[in-house]
Amino acid sequence: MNAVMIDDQTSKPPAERRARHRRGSVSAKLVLGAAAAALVVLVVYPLFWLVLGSLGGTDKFTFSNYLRVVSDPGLYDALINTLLIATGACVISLVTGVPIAWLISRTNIPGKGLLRMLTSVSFMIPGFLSALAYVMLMAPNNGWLNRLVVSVTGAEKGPFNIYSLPGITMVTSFGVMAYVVMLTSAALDSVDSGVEQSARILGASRWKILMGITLPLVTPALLASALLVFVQSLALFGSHAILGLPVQIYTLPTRIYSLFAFPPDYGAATALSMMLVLLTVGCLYLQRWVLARRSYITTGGKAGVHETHDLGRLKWPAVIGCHAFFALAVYFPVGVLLLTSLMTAQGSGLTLDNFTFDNYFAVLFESSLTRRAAINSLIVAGSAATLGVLLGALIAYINFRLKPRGAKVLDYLATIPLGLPGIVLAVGLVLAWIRLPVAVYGTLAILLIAYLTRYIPLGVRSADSALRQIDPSLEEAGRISGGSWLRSMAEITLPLMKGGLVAGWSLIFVQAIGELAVAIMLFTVGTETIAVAIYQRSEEGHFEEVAALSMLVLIATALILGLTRRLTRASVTRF
Amino acid sequence: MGTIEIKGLSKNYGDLRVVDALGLSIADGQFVTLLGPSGCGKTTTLRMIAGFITPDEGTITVDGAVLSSPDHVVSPENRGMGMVFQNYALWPHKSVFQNVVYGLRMQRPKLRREDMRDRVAAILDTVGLAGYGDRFPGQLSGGQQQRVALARSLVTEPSILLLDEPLSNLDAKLRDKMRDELQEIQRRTNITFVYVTHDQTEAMSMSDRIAVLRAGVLEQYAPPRQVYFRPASVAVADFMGLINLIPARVESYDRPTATAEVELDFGARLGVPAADGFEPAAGEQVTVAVRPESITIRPASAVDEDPFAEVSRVMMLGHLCYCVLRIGEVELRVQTDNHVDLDRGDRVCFDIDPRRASVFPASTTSESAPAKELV
Amino acid sequence: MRSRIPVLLTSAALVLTACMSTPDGPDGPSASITEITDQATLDTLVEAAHEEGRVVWYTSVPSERAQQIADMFTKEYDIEVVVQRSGGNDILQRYLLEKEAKRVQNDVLTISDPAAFINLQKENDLTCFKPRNFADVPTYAKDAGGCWISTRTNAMVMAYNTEQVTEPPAGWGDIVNPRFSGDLAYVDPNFSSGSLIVTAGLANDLGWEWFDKLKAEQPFIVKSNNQLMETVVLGERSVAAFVNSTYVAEAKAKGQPVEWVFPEDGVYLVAAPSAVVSGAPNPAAGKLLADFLLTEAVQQLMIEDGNYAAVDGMAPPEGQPAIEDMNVLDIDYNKIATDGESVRDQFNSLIGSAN
Repeated sequence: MNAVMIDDQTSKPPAERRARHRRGSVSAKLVLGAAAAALVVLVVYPLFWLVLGSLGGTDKFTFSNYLRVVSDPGLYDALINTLLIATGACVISLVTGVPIAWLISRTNIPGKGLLRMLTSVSFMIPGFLSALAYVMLMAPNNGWLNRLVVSVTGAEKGPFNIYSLPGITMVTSFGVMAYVVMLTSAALDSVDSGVEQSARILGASRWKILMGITLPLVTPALLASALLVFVQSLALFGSHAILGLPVQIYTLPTRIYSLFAFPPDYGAATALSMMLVLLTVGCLYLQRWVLARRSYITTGGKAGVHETHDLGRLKWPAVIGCHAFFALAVYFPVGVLLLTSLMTAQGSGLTLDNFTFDNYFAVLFESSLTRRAAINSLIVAGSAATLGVLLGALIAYINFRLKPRGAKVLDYLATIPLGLPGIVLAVGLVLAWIRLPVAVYGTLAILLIAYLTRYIPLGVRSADSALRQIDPSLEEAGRISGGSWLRSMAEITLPLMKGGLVAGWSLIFVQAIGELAVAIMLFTVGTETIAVAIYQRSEEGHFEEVAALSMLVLIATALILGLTRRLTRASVTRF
Repeated sequence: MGTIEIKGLSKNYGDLRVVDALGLSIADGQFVTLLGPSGCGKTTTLRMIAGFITPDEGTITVDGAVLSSPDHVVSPENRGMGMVFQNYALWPHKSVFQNVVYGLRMQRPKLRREDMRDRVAAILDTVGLAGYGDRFPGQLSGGQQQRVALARSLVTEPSILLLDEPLSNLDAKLRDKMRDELQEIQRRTNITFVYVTHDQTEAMSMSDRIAVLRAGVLEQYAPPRQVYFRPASVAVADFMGLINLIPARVESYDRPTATAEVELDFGARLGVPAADGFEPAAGEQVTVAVRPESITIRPASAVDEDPFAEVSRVMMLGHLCYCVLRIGEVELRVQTDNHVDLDRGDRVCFDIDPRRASVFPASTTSESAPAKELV
Repeated sequence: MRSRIPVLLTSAALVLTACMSTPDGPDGPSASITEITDQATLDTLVEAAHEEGRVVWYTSVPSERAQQIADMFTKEYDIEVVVQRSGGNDILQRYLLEKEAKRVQNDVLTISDPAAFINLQKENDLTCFKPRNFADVPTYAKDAGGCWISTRTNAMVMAYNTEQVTEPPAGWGDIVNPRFSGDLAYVDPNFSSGSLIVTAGLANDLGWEWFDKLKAEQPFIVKSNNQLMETVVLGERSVAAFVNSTYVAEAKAKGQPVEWVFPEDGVYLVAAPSAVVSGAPNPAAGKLLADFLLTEAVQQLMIEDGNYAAVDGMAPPEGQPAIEDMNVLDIDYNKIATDGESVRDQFNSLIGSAN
């Protein structure tokens, strides 16, 4: 401050102008510098502690943790399981997601809106809820579907076993296939129909055009979404834990989780975390590389008018195919949660005397825990979403508008959390914040920090795509008209980004509400979240109340998604 | 007041020197055009004047105050300038009124609400958009958007208005109309206009002075007529319109009149003024630049001693006519009126008006700009 | 909204006290009370507890029961009890992290793992305090100095679904019989402290060969006793290798098709101690709750719920044999306190790999 004052007094004629200029640029530097610093604190600080922890902590430097982890034969089982699940989820997502995306974007399939909505819903159902629902549906002995098959066929045992690698893979893929649909249909929309029509004129059949021109054009997007799906599947904790732990199918996230359980082995937990991080960051790097080469997609410009393929006689088979998939991904799990939530005891089937609203009553009005958890979730998810998009907007602004030296570093920093499994992030955050004299650990603040870190990539990405559509001259016009940088930001750039920011907000909000891995490690008395409450209740075996809570969460998130969609008149899930 | 003094201004992007030691004085109330092909540094220069870009070297001084130097740049909002952007940069989420009033709202001390409203109404009236205040940019035509952008930049009554190719997105007819109006507004308000364009017609028709830039270097800074008839270099000559470049040899040079006696490639002898700063020596190979309209044709007669040529192409453009003449190795483009009756293969005589030609060093002729194809 | 500032102040105060406090807790008239000897000390304690206003209880007692006890306490002393229920190891981990962060949240800790309390005591994490009924608790189920003391006794029994199992297991040797292949469920010692104790006991008494046989039966590993009972009641798996008898009692009371087996080759009785932790934000109320847990009323409640009382001389829970009539297997808590981690590692390397 002093320097500025002195400068004011000593400066020559347009002293007033210069002083104002100084203040203006100081505010810009302050705000943007603070945003960059926040990113560094959020991402680098916990990472630093992870690395430090894995190398023996503050006392001594050692690789013994890594040696211990590597020499544990269990690691390889976990690693192989993790890779199998991720690869399988990738394949399922591509095999189902690409046709669905194509059907939605390019054909006259009936009920496109419904299919879009189902995709969003599949994205919105937290993984651990799908897993819990599938335990009810496909537990080998008492799962509903198995009992149904047994009662119909008289077989001794039902055919389904959700407690298996294929089971985990299937449930995992339901939560991530939406990425494939979203990215693929975005890419399809950006392919100009002209390139297809010109092939048509040259005599290519529709099938040849699809395989020879359209698909190759969207291949980078496919690869990118496949890698994203892979990374997300690597890091999923809830479904791995619920479906894998009982039958000793361990994955890297669940292994880290059990290493962190009492008595905690921080050294091994962090060393293993670092390996998972390397794996995911490697994939993300690959993904960016693939995306960076897809210039020929984006130069297509705006989404043009596309030729709609007439499916002809294949119309109804396609509809049935799509809905058969969504039966597994959405109808069954949501249905079983809904039915269970209305039962007094889930074992007895839904009959009149087994029908009740008591579960809803109990979680809404009787339990102080669930009420507290709901409020906590709303507070934390709401603030994480708000701060996330604002921070994301500033980071995107630095990266995309100012492009200072080192902008690439910021960009990468903002991507790293995508590769940080929640459980790993939580380990890093615990180590990082626990010793500080400031009360962070054990408060809602640590959850907020965690969510902010976890979802900053979503914030940056939404902001970035919004910013790309705004010509820099709009802001410059504000500056030259006499508005300061802050003012131009507040009155011009941010309002113009509104649509993208609202979409990003609801994306973060929905994810944060369903977040389990981080919350389960960081909550304490009074800071339980709704996901923690659900998980804890399910551990105690109260499936009916769990189902009621889950339904409330789903309804709430659906309402919020619908509201934001109405606000922005744009589909939230299309970025 | 709106005088601009640019000294030694340079800007590099990586290895590329976009603006190179540019010096320019712009007097108050002048209409100055920065003219040049794309990539010549004109927009960069304008954006440095606006304060969006920090120069690597040099200074920009406005009314005696240094606004830009490598270590200190007064930010755009504190320069009190106006700017019209190529794409208009209207804020789509604000109405026409809100767009225009923005600059007034930023002024300190605060203006009274009624004053703002009156001034917006007045400026909208000036640009012919009275009553459009409640519309949104998306509801306006390109020309109307252009006027809103103009109103928005003028409403604060800046002493300097910067215009970045403001007419390039308009169709030809509208462009002519806006050209007149811009000139009219400039005359009336007496604001200093700094206008960027790559269109020499725009530059010629509106400017008090034109600064021709090429590859970051200021080639010439002079009134339109001088730039046109007395270009400082072959490049400028070429950029300002069609021109014939004829190889020639200097017979003698008269320093007091700065006139060279040259023998053209095909034999004719002329006394042609040398370009500014060029003193050709006797016997030196040079280039003589002549505009198509400075050559006149007449039918050849057997007794004529004047050089004659063969018509190799005729092009009727409506309001005028272009002929391409071939004489030896040289092709000459000639502008004639639109009722000459010529055909391919006709033999004609021609006269070059030596006072409207210029002599340039030969070295620049060889590669620089094969004369533009006829449009 | 009104409460925000007080809450902030309280948390600030908590941090301060946590930072400044010695392992013996903050100063105050109640701090020196290590034993309730007469009515006057009790009155001092109650008064100090009232000033604190509430008590936070981390417990592995199932939510409903814990809440019931909490309500009784609130009724008796008009002090709010905040119950945080989770698995034993989860609670311990949470407590240790919070201690590390100097943000200890809880006052009283109750988990079925005396070995863990032995370790906590070594770290000076416990405030020694002898409740009124201290003398009535058997020596093996308490610390002589009162740093921790058992507040109930869990009999670890086998359980089976009566609709699916006609020939129930007789004991530890019988349950790893191939006829139960694919039927067994087992609580994960990584998450349940009670299971860790039994696992250590089994490893000690029957050797790790027993776990080789267990693995061959493809057990279903669950995270808690509750989940285990749910699994057996719903018939996902029909036999629980061991479970706290209180859960079986509860299921039977509900008329669910389960029955217990007290293993013929010996029963593990696991003490479930409670203790007041060092740096507790409400030490007086914590001591009062610790004292309350051993009162006859609460002990009687434990029995009603199918637990054995911690204090001597009380009747066994309904339908369960008296301790004197059982073949009780000894558990060396001190050994588990030092070996616990290696037991867990051994279990993980034996059972914990699916292939």
